[in-house]
Parts: sequence; structure tokens; C-alpha cells
Amino acid sequence: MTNIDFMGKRKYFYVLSILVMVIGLISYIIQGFNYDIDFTGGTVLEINLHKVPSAAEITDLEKLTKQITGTQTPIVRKIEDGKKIMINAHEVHGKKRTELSKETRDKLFNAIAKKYNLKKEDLISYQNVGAVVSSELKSQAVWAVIIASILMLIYIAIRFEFKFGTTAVIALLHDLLIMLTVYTLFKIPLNSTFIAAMLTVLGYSINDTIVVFDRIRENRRIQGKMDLKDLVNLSMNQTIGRSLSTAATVIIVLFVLYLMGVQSIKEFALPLLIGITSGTYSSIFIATALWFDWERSTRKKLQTKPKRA
Amino acid sequence: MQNKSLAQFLIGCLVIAFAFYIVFFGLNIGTASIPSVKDVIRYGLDLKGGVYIVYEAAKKNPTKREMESAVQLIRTRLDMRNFYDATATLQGSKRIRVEIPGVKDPDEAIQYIGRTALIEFKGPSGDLIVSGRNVVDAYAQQTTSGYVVALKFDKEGAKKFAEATRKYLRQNIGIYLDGKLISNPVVRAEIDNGEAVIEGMKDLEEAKTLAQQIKAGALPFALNVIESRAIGPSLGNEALRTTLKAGIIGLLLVFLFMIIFYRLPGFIADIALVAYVVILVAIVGYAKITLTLPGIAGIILSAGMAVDANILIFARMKEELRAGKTLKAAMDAGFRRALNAVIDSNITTIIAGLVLLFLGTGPIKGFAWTLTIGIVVSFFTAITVTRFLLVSIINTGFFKDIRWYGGKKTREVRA
Repeated sequence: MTNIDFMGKRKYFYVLSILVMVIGLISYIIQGFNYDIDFTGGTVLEINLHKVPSAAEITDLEKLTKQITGTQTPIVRKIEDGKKIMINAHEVHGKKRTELSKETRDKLFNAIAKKYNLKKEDLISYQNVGAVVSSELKSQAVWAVIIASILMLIYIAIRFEFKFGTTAVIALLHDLLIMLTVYTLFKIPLNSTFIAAMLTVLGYSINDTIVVFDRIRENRRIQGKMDLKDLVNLSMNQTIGRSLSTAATVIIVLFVLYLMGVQSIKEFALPLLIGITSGTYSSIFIATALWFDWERSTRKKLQTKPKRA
Repeated sequence: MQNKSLAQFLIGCLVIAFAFYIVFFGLNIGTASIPSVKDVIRYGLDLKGGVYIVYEAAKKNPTKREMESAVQLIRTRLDMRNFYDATATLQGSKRIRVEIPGVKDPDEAIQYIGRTALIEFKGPSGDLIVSGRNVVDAYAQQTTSGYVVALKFDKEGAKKFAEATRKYLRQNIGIYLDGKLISNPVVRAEIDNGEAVIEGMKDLEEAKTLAQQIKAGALPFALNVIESRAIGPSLGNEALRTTLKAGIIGLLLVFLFMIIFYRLPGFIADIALVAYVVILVAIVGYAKITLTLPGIAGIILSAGMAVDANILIFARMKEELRAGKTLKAAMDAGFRRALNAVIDSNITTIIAGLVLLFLGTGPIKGFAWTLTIGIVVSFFTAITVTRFLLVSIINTGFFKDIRWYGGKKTREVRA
């Protein structure tokens, strides 16, 4: 068994987490999120170019898209093996953004097809999403997180105690913020897949936290007289091997999926990789540490109160 | 005891292997047959390509009955075009999701599903007699007097129509589509059985079109397209292939990981993991849950969670062994003491899965399904299958050395 003084170093990890989140906040203020069509409404075209376009060609394609559709900031990016591209575009009608009409879409594809000598099948897929769907998706996501968090908090509060539930949920929200930070920082497109990933992380990361809390609960019963810090450190050292193993198995699978998967799977594996890594970290360094500080402060109060009286 | 345990272990493995064979390859004994899961599995559009369209009622609060009749209407039209694979399902309270596999262009699909128009029957003075909502059926027919469109009204419509035909005998009753007169037949007799015939069609084509239009008018509101996506079939195939490949490689790596770190129990957990995959795939396949790409991801992810439970148990077992317990006592303690954590962590994940299931739509729902079922199945296999096999193999007495269980010292442990 390892013998690491986790609690002694907890301040460093608080600082680290806050630092990452501050970076995320700054990035959000400066460049916001790269909302995918799922959130903004519009049309996404997936086209097989049969060759890897250069950066200049991508810029040209963006210009072409802007010209034909009127999209102010069209996004063209390479996907999968780099020979395929994805174009995000929309039409503007007054203040409203809409998906591309069939005519505009055909015009755009034909222009690109002419340039790269493409056939009809090379338009691999396209998606139209209305703005109604988009705004609903966003509120759905927020509701899902709130409802899931509350239900988990209630469950843990019943099975353990309120303090465990609250700190576990804070650690979860921490993981979501970390995920969002990575997304804004690297301008990764945010879409509905992200929501599914987010909720998976919510469900999965709490596993690790619960295992540690479960051990603290058990050790507290057996070793009641032990100093709180030693008790928490003991519990963490007892569970760290297992926490790393379980994280490893899931990360292995996700990593393979990310390396091999098609675009939509990559988009799913990436946020999960970030979230689960962050979840393993936060269950060890954030959830338990916060619980420790909270528990200690209430114990101190209990100890100091009688003196005052 | 030893022979019995060995037999138990082998039978357990055989049952799993047999189930694996049936699920993945099917079984034929005489007349009875179980199809292999790959023949019955229902793939989502993202895996086989096609078009999906989401319609929304252009009316504030449509009733459930109205929405269901709209779904029925769309199904009829899809059937008319021989798209028997297509599905139309209610999504929420005012949306209909239509999926048509194998079709490339959503616009074309939207064309033949057609827009929904308002049909009205009006008297000579322009007074409304019945509207399309009272029409139960309309179809083209060839009679001795040429091509006609036969109509069937519901009870309320039949009554109103009977009154109107009595009132307007030998006068015209106009049929209006979106306010435009499309036919103006003369009433020859009172019609009280709710069945009417519109005569004077040029040809079968015209009769068919009118019948379709009237049927379309059976809805008291229009449907707007709010979302449409097309996925190429080659993309779907590729997605399925690479995801399966990645999933298998990922699982094999997990198998290896378990054996390297947990030795014999790790190997047993791997067998339990096979049982998990078989059960889950069987449920998804035979219960006709639509398998989407995120759905496969959900299966793979819950596989990771399936070993999670076992890791908890084995890590505990290792500890107990180190504390000097006998093998059997260590195993019992491992299962007993890890159970709380396993239950709590699984339930919290199920909570997230269920929230996703109720709030999510489309592919996200597919993911939530497989994830939720996956957790329940993985909990079952991690506790029961692993335990059964582990007890059996320990009782055979072949594996007494602590190193088989991931211990470091060469120490004989008492079974």
C-alpha cells in the first residue's frame, strides 16, 4: 500500500483547479464557445474531397461559402483522414439564422464539386437544424445537469450524509467546468454529443468519489479515534490503486475509440476522455479534500463552543 | 468436492460459450430456431445511412389524439411509397420524428411525405359543412362512370354531411384545399351512411392525387419541418465497422489489463465480461432497441464499468489476503465489503442514465438506453457470474499460491 499525504498537499490542487477554471473563464470571455450547428441552427455539409486540402484551400473554401451562403463566419474543417471536410453554414434572414435552402446548398456543393472534380456521392451527409431545436437543446442540457445533480445529491445524502453528497456534486461540477475549459480553449465544436458525454461523466466520475467516501465511512466506524487527517489519508491510500485501475480500463477503451473512430465517435470519445480523467483527479484531490476541510471546520466548532460557554 | 467444483467451473464456462454462440451465430434445431443477433438488430440511421426529419405541429397545444393521427398519416404515406423500413414516432408533445433508411435526400422525402393541407367541404353559399378532420379515409376508384374519389366520414362528419346533402340536393358542394376550390360536385342524392363519392376525375392519377390531398387534410393543423439530416450509407457502414473494431480492441486491452493486474480473478472477470457482452447484446438485439453509434459507445463504456465492480472486489480481496485471511474468507470479505460501494456507484450512474433517457432525444436516447441497461447487466454479471466461477475455481484447490491472486509473496494460502 502506498503512503502518500494527500491531505497535506490539498492546497496545491485547489490552486491548480482554480487556475484551470480561471483560464477557462478568460478564454470564454475572449473567444466564447465554438457552438456547433446543434446549438446555433444552420446546415452542416460533409464532403469527401479525396485529397487533403491545404490551409490556403480551407481559407478559399471558407470564402466561397461566405460568398454563396452569406454566412459571416463559416467554419470549414478537415475530419477523419483529412480528405473529408465539414462545412458549417447558415442563411441570414433579418435577425434570424436559418438552415440553407436546397438551392443554396446545391449551389455551394456544385461550386466545390466543380473545383475538386467531385461526384454527387461525395456529398456524404448534410444536416439541417432549426434554431428552435437548438435553443431547446441548450436548456435541455442545463436541466439534465441540474436534475441529475440534485438526484445524485439526494441519493448520496441518504446513503452517506449531506456533506458527502454536496462535496461529491461540487467535484462533478468541477469536472464539467474543466471539460468546458478544454472546449473553449481549443475551440472544439460544442454539440449535442457533448451533452451526452457530459452526463456520462456526471454518472461515471461520481463512482470514484463514492468509493473513496465509502472507505472513509467504513474506516471511521472501525478506527473511530483516529485523527481525521490520518483517517482520510489512510482511506485514500487504500483506494488509490483501485481508482487508477478503473480509470485506466475506461480510458484505454476511450482512447482506442478516439484513435480509430469515425468523426461522430471521436466527438464523443474526446469529451469523455477529458471528463473521466478530470473525474479521477477530482474524486481524489477535490471531493475528498473539500469534505475534509468542511468536516474539520465543523469539528473545530464543536470543540471550541463549550469553551466559550 | 474438488472434482465437483471443477465440473461446476467448466459447466459455467460452457454455458457462457454456448450463449455466446447462439447470440452471435444463431441456432437451428429442427423447426425451432433462434436468429443470430446480427440478423435481428435494429440499426439506427447513423449506422446504416438514410434521412431523418423532425416535424413540429404548427399549433400551440395539439391533443395526443391529433398527434397520433398525424403519425398515422405519415406512416400511411410512407407505406404508399413502399418505405416499409421507415418509422414515424412521436417525440415529446408536438413533434414527430420520421426516419427513412436508405434514402439520400431529405428534401425529396419531405416532398413525398407531403405537406399537410386544410381540406374543407363548403355549401353553395360558402358555409362550412365538414372539414378534413372528419374524413376517415379517401381513396381513388374506377367505376362505370369513370374515375372517382371515395370518401368515408366519421360519425360526426356523416351526420353533418347527411344534413348538408339533404339541404343542398341538386346543388354544388365545393371541396376546398387551403381555401382553393379543387372540385365542385353536384349532390344527386342524400347521403346518410357517411360515404360519399366525388366524380368527374380526368384519370386515375388525378383521382389518386385528390384522394391523397383529402387524406392529408385529415389533420386540423400543418406540420413544419424543423430539422432534417441525411447520412450517407457508406458513412454509416464505415462508422459501424470502425466502431466495432475499436470496441473489440478496447475490450481485448481491458482483458489483458485485468489478467496482468489481477491474475486469476482478473481472468475470471474477463469471462464474466464475455457474459456481460452476450447478455447486453442479446437484450439490445432481441428487444429491438435501436442501436446507434452513441449506443455502441454506451455498451463499451458500461463494459468498462462492468470491470470496475470486479476491480473493487478484487482490490478488497487482495487486502484481506495481505491481512492474512484464508482465500475463501478473503473472497467472501471482498465481495461483502465492496458491495456497498458497488451498489452506490452503480445507482448514481443509473440516475444519470435515466435523466438522459427522459430528457434526451434521438441518438442520445440510444446511448442512455444501452448505458442504463449496461449498468444493470454489468452489476449482475460482476456479482453473480464472477462469484460463481471464482468460488468454483478456488474450491478445485489447484490455485493455492497467493501469486495467482496478485499477491507478491510466495505463500501458500489455505483454501
